[in-house]
This record gives sequence, C-alpha cells and structure tokens, in this order.
Amino acid sequence: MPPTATFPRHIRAIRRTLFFSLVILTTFTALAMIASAFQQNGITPQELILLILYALLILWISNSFWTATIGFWILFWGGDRKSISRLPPRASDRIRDRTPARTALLMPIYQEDPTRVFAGLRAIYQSLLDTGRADEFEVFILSDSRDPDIWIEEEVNWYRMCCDFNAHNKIFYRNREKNIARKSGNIEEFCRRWGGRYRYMIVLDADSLMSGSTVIRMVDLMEAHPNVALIQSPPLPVNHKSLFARILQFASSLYGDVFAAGASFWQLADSNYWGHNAIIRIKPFADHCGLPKLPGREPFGGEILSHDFVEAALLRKAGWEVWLGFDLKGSYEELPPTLIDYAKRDRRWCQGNLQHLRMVFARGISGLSRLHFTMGIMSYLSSPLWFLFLLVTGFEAYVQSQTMPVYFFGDNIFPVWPESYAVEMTTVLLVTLAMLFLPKLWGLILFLRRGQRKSYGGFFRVLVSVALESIFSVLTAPVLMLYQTNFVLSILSRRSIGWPAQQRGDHRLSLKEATLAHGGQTLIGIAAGIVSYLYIPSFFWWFTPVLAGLVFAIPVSILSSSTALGLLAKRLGLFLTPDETEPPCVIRYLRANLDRADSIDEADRDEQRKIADPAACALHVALLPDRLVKKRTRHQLRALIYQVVEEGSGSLSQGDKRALVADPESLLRLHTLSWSRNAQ
Amino acid sequence: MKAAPSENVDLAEIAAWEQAGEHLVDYLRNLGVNDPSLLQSLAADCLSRARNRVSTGSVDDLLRRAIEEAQRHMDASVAKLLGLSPTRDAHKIAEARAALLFRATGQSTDFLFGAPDTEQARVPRLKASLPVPTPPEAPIAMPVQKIDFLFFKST
Repeated sequence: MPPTATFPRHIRAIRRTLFFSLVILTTFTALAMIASAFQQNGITPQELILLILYALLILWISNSFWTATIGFWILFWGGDRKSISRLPPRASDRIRDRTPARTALLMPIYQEDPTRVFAGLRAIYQSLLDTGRADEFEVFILSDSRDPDIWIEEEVNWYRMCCDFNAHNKIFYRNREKNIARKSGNIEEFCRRWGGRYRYMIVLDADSLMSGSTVIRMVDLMEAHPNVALIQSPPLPVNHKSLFARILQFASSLYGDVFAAGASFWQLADSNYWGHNAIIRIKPFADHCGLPKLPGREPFGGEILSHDFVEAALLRKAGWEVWLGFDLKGSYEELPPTLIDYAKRDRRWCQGNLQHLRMVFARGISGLSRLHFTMGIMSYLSSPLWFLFLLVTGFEAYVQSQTMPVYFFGDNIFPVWPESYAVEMTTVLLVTLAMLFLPKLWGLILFLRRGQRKSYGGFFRVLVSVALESIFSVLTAPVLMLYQTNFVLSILSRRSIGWPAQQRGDHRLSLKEATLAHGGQTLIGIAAGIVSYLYIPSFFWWFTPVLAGLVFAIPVSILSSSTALGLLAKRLGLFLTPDETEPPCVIRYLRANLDRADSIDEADRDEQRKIADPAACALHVALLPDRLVKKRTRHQLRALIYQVVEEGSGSLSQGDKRALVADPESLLRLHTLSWSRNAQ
Repeated sequence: MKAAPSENVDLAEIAAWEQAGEHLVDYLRNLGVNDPSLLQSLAADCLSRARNRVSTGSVDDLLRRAIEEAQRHMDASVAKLLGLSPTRDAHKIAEARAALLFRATGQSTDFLFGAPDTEQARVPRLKASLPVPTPPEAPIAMPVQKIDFLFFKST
C-alpha cells in the first residue's frame, strides 16, 4: 500500500458528480428531442435501432465535449489548483523511501530506425546534461530487435553515444534473446534484472522526446508525492514534415491542451497510463504489474497487447495514485506520417483495446478503471456504430420517402396534416455538430488569450489553418470510420495481426499504394452516392460530406503524405506550431543530431559493410554473452556459413542470419570471409 | 611447410598475390594502423605466417589466413597490453579491441605494436572506454498478477 494518505475523496466526488451529470444530462436532452420526433406514429424497429445507436454515440461525443469544455474553463482561468504539479508536497520525513534515488530512462525498441532512435535519445541526454542533474539518471536501450543488421547498428550507435558523452557507465544497451510478451515483457525483464538499482523509471517510446527540465520536474514531483506510482505527461506530436502530420501536429498543439486539462479535472489521482513519456515508481510497479496471459487464443486471449491501461488499473487497484500531469510541457512524440500509416497504427491499437473487453469485467478494479477500458474500446467501436447509424438513417430516409401521407382518417371531413419535427431534428444535428466542433473554438480562444499569435503564424493564418484542418478532418473521418469498422469486424472474427513495427519516417505514398489501400473505400463511396442520389435524393445532399471523404480518399491520402506540400504550407505560415517556430532546445538538439546522421555516408549502412567493419564486428562480439555451443549447433552454423559463401546472404532467413550473428565464432568467420572474398 | 611463390609461378598468380598483400594492408588500416612502415612490416609478417598454412596458388585462402593472423596479432598485443590471457579472457580482449577500433582512446592502434613503455601510459584511458553494456544486476521480484473476471475465465 502507498505510504501516505490518498487524495481527498470529497474533491473527487464533487468533480466527478459535476462532470458525469453534465454528460448524462446532455445525452438525455438530445435523446429526448430525437425520441419526440420518432414517437409521432409510434416507434418503428429501425427508429428504435437509431435511438439506441444515437444514445451510445451522443454519450461518447458528450463525454469528449464536456472534457474539452471543462479543460477550456480551467485553462482560461489559469490552471487547476488540484493538479499534481500544484498540490503541496505530501512527502514526510517519517517515511523514507529506501530505494536508491536514481532514475532509469528506458527506451524499449523493436525494429526501429536506429538513426532516429539515437538522435532522439542523444537529444534527451543533451538536454538532461544542460540541467546539471544528469548524474541522477542512467539510460537503458532495451532492444527487442530481431533483424541482425538493425541489432548491430543499434550497438554501434549506442557505443558511439557512450564515447561522445563519456558516459560509459551511464548509458546501457541490451538486446533480448527472445522477445517474450513484446514491450511489456521487455520492461518486465528490465525490472526483474535491474529494478533494484532505481527508484523510478521513465518509459519512452522509439519516437519519444522529453526535455531535461521536464524529466527533472517529473522526478521532483514523484519525490514530493510518495503515494503516486505514475505520472503521465501529455506528449505533443512534433517533427514531421508531411502535410498529414503537420495538420495533426497543429490540431494537437491548438486543441490538445483542453482535452488533457479536462481529463485531469475529473480523473485526478485515477488517471491512465499511455505507455510512454511517463514516470513510474518501480517498486509498486514490480509488486503489482506482472501481467498474466489472458485465457484463450488471440486476438482476445494471450499476451496483453495494450498493457498500459491494465498496468494503470492494477496500480490503482493496489491503492496507488496515477496522475496525468496535463501542465507538464516539454514532452513530445511523433505521429505516423501518412493516413495509411496512421490507419496501420490504429489497427494494432484497435486489437489492444478490444482485448480489454474482458478487463471491463475484472474483479476488484475501480469504476473509473472500467471507464478507462470502456473509453478505449469506444474509441474504435464508435466507428462501426457510426457506420451502422448512417446505414439505418439511409434506410429510414428511404422508407419515409416511400410513405404516402394520409390526410383523411375515417369520417373526418377535415384533413389531418402530418406534424413536422424538422426543428427538433435540426436542433439535434446542430447540437451534435456543435459538440464536435466547439473544442476547436475553445482552442482558438485560448490561443488569443495566451498571446501566442506570432508563434502560430498570426491570427489570420491560424483561422485559415483551423478552417482547413476542419475540412481535412471531415474528409478523413469517413475513411478512418471504414478502416476502423473493418478492423473491429476482423478482430471480432478472431483475425489477429500480431505487432508489426511501424514506419515512422516521412515518405510520399505512391498511386499504387494509395489505390490498394483506399480503392475499396472509393468504390463504396461512389456506389453509396449513386444509390442515395437515385433512391433518396433528399438524403444524398446531407450525405455528401461523408461521400466526398470516401470518393476523394486516394488523392487526399497521396497529397497529404507529401512532404513538399507540408513544407509549402509551412512557408505560407499554415499549420504552424510554437514547437516549429520557436523550437525548444531538445527539438533543436534532435534536428542537429538527425542532420549529422544524414551526412554519414549511406554506404556505412550497407548490410555487408556492417559485418566487414572490424569495429562494428568487434563490438558485437564483445557484447555477446559467453555461451557454450553444442556440437550439432556448431555444425549447423558452419553449414549456414557455406550457404552464405555459395549462395550469398540473401539465401538465409532472418532467423538463420540472427543465429550466425549471435555466435562469436561464426561472426568472426563471416567477417574474415567478407574481406578475403572481396579480394577476388 | 608450404612453398612461397617462386619464379615459375605465372604472372597472373603474382598479380593475385600482390593484390592480396594490398588487401591485407587495407584491412590493417581498418584495424586502425596508420604508420606506413608499420603497415608494410605487419602485412609482410602476417603473409609470411599465412603462407606456412596454405597450399600454393590458393590466394583467397592465403588472404583469409593472413587476416586471421592480423586478428590474432592484434588480440595478442591487446592481451599483453592489459595483462590478460588470450585464451581465458577472450571477452575482455574483445571489449578492448572494440574500444580501440572505435578510437575511443582517441588514437590509432599503432601504439599497440610499438615499444612497451609508451603503451602502458594509454592503459587507464583504454580501460575507462571499455564497452559496458549493462550494469551489475539488482534483481527484484515481479510476481505475475492473477486477474479474476466476471463472466469470463480468470487468469
């Protein structure tokens, strides 16, 4: 159990009562309006389905809207006095934490681009050195990479970093032989082996970036609040140049704050963990977060994919506090550079979140933990619900269009005019749209209040950027809706996708790639357009924003992936963020590191050269563990070497390559062969 | 004992031998040896040792053996410098070799093959630059949690 008293209950109760009352009241009001329109002649089965779907969707929208609105209110009046960064210290001299006052910065990686990973890690370390408190930290690169080339490149980058910063006992690297349980297993292995050396760990992602001052601030907050097990910082997306990423970076920068502040308002000490850019107290984490395998097979059983939500729930269950430090600045991440990469990432997250279906029914966890799981599920389930809602609405519109009004009943000599509910329905539509778009207005108002005009490119340019971003989000929303619907359906039909590595670098999509990814959506859009235009023309015009998104999915996806367009927009002063116009030190360090890495001869990255390079080869041998090799394995390894000699390294599987590279004797032989064969 | 290339070996073979010699020099340069005279003498030494272990005419075999000789030579020098046993301390030697090849000491490896009194001055710097992949372990328990579910099978 945590050492000191937890956060006052009455504050939680008041805030949550207020928040949930607003959400539920809004939902019921909207439902009452739509139900009154439906009740005209009794509710038909399709109207009942529409009501249920709308109830679920408006609940979801209303939750998001009120989170943003409360967040806006808090930020407008200068912040939250009950946020973790403003609470008075609760540490007591009576209770001493006996664990070493040292923090591990963990960078778990799996098949990532080593150049980007180490450029980011160097930037974090440089920024940490600037604070003068780098001695309190040690860095761990926890590699799960399987590809032998990436493995060797990671080692070379690691050792160069140690040499450049003269940090030979401060920056560590290990490559796991078997990547059991993916990222959570990677961190678990760290805790089991080295957890006793540290009081805290700050978990990063391959594309994470954190300023030294933020890292220090997080450690100080943990020291001041011994009952806190985890503080999540809100990472701001930065650094990509494609139009897609720049639009999303702008949106996150302008509107992201209100959501984070609002979430912190009602979640308080029961916040969530997002998997990276967070500080964790190691002891309670080790005591309570050893994750089991879920019964059954994938995608619902097996290893827990989205481990972060579960770990936060287990910490909260054990009585520890989990906070979202919404006002912690200097925490960054990168977004997928294209719409397709974004959808691919969504596919993994979708599987991870749907796996939480049974976690909602876990015994002993708090109601708010169940809500966190439900919200994660709804992030993806809302798409098929919207899709179904549109289908049923279209069907209902068709039925209505085929119904002939009856003006005379029985012996009535006067006509009975059908009641019009256009006002109610339009109000419902406008309220729904307002709840979707008002958070953008909150962001704009805060932008004006903070006097950040220059760093966003000026008032006029921000207005244009918001308008364009809104159009872009309207166009991409139906595409993502279809993607996510497809993901949910395929996961529900028990098709697992594993956990593939992400493509994080900027790259323009080809026509072929975009057509393969969006062709089906375009055809659906055209077909739906023709059907609605022919059979329910009144519905067609309402439907056009959705249709436009689908019909233009291919060009929108290609154009938005363009770095040239992203940079053109930047030159025009559109979608600018303060982190672009006045980049903080850590981002400047990252850019300088990336520029330096780009200037390295491309040939140095060639696969053959890595084995041939005596330095890389010697380092790799030095890092391999001492191990006896069985005679049979030795013969198999020799056979693989002969295969390389006769058929080239391309004939080997990745597993074979890894087996060779993991054996010092085979590696040295390959190294020698690469030099002696080059002579011919 | 195998014979060295003699006058009756054809010209193409001589050219191949010479090319092997050049390649070996190139390899030694990659091992961080900079001094031209040291390069030539080391290459000649490695080739002459290698010639004793390969059959006549097998140039690629000769080069492979010569490269292995160069590696052995370097490892022996590193072992001598750090007072290690070439057989028992293979791992430590590999670490030192890596540090030297990455120029973590800031210099070429010429000194390895130089006079003993100048070598010893560099030992502390070399030792401080040895790659340390992980710190000493400080294990803690991380018990697997049991999660009970309503309506579903528990873990």
